[in-house]
Amino acid sequence: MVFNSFNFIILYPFIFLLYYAIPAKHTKGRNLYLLLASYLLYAHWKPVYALILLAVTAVTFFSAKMIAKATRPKRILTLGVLLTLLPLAFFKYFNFINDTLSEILPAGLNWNLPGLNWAIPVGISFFTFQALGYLWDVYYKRQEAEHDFLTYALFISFFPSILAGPINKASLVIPQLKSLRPYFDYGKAVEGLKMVLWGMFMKVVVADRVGIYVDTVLPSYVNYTGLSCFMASILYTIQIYTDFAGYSLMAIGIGKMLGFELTENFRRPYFAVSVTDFWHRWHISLSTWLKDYVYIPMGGSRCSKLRNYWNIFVTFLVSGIWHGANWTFIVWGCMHGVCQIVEKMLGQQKCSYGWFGRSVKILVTFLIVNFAWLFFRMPSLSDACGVIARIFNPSLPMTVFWGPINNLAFMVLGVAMVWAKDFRDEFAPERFLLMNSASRGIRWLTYVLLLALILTAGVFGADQFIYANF
Amino acid sequence: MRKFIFRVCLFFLAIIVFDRVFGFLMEGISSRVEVGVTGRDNFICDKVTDDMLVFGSSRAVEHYNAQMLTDSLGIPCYNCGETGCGIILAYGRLRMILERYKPHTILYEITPDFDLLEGQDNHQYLFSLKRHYDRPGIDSIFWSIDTKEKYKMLSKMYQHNSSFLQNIVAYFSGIAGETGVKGFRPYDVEMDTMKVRKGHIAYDSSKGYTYDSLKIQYLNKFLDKTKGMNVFFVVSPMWYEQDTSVMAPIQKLCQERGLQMINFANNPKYVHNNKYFKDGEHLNARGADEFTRDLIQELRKRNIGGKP
Repeated sequence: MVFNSFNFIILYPFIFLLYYAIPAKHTKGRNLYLLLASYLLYAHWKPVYALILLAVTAVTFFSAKMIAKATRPKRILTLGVLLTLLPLAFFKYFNFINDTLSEILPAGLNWNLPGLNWAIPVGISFFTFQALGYLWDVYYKRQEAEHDFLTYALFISFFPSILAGPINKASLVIPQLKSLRPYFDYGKAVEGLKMVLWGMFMKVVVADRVGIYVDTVLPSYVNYTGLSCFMASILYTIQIYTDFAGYSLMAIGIGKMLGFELTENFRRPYFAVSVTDFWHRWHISLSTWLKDYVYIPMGGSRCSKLRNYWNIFVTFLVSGIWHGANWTFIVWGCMHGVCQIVEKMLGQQKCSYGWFGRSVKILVTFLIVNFAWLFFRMPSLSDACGVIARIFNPSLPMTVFWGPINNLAFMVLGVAMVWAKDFRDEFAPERFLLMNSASRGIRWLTYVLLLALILTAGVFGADQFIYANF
Repeated sequence: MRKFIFRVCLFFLAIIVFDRVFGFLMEGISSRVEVGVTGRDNFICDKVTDDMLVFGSSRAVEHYNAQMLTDSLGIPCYNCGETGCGIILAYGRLRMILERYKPHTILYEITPDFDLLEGQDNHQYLFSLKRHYDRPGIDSIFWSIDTKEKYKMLSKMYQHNSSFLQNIVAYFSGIAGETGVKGFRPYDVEMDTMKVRKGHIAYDSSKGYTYDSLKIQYLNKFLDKTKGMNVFFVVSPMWYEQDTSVMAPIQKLCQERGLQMINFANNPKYVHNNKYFKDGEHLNARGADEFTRDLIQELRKRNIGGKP
């Protein structure tokens, strides 16, 4: 159930209050309650898919226990990883692999199962990677195998993060689940509420509003000028950030309200000075996962230069494949990999220039990331290339489609607010503390105005988060 | 915990107060707007008294020259169509109009996507009705689309969602989009040939059509409310050829209720004729005048209006 849905907004206060009705000393009781709530919320989508979640949980739980005891754990690890990946491979990649094979092989193999693409269990990529991370941590002895199935099942299915992350590490969450948590942490709860409020603003006021423009122009880009396509690409770059960062912020905020700390997922990615820096700020939990379980096991940077470049490329190839079963995602991942290799070769990963040089690097990185997002957004490689070709076609009229003026006004307002906050957080974190101001009046006025903006300028009805599709 | 709950309640109390004040101000402002989309909507819901009314989507707004219909038929006509909307909004507007008077003739422009077929999110048709939620018969339209709207509409801010800015600007500056002449808003432009391709047929019967039962239900309700009036379903021209089998439910309704359908789909005078269109689905100003003239002839054949 997504956080900006009406059902969740109504249900969550009850989940919250009932959770705190259980005395703090009954840690197991609290965990059992959260597990039930998590499964019920997950099953609300398609009840049968809760069984897949349970299966992935059981496989990794028992595999980890066996790995911890085994003298030759690699075989168990391999089997556990393959079994864990099976539902993901089947639901998400079967048709893609099959289609690709059908095109390559002359015999024309075709075992298409048309129901699979729309029936992908929500959050499967997230909970599968979280479970795999735990399995590898146990194998590498970075994490002890968990013996309490209830605790482990809650770690995998915890409702704030199951749908679209963050992909949490067992070492962060399991100790919190096992420890005696304080009855209620006022500061944390308030902090969590603020995160939910700002996350909701990012999602419904900004992401869904700019999404109206993006969804008008990009699907029928042949009807629009190059400048309009460029504007749509910029707005998609903003949409995917505000949609996903907004969701992550809400997930972390909801976790905080229940007394949990979850992994930080975004750190103002569009102020990155290089693509490498971008990946230290964008979807941090996935970047960390890829670094820990793909890049470093392959040798990381402690190897020859050439091997290091290969490791970077493969890591981002995996990232592309993780995002979706389409060549567009693979090209998107490869683009990011290649950019980082070039940056490494030129020594441009960090910024040692003054404010002007830094501004130029931020702008260049933004534009590179922006063009790469086109491959992420468009349904096929030819469409993505088609949009780029239109953007650079000088024969097209230099006019821009602005869309309805009402929509434009809300877009400008929302984007300006998000940019201003990110700018403040990046360059002057101690100034203009509206939601964290020492003055209660300013704080409360900010809360009320923010919720008022959500109600008056938000787009309601567009429940789905972009990343929930992965 | 108590402190937290108390402060959250206080916050929501502040929001409720803000909501009521905002709602009070916005209701006052938006009901006084006389220009643009809201001004036109206010006129349709509160002031229109014409005997002939046109309903439908942008194809109604841009195709039916209400002044020409008035002058030629001798029947005052107003164009109540709305871009991107269909039967659900039309039913709501008709309910509000019938609270004041009963028109004589209704021309309903059928656009299958908005009036018959499944696929569009029906929430989009509620946008123009939000401000009128408290009027008789309007609230139930919201509930029929989504029962949760009953609770969402408790908020006055939500009732003015996405429209407050344009209403404030329109009220204080008088600047807004064109209201049109008697609700008719033509586009005096040339055909954009980039946007059309020959050989394409509007509506594709190969996969069969899935009709939206709610839209059909509202078509029936609309006809129930128009008993005793002259109702015509009209399909105005398209640049594209059309698969007319998509209109089967309308033909069935016409048979059951003894209504007439005036169909310009696939009319050779219009199909692929660039001079009458602005894109594949919409006539330009010249095309709209030509179509209105043809429509007047058809209406005269059906004993509507005086002789020329």
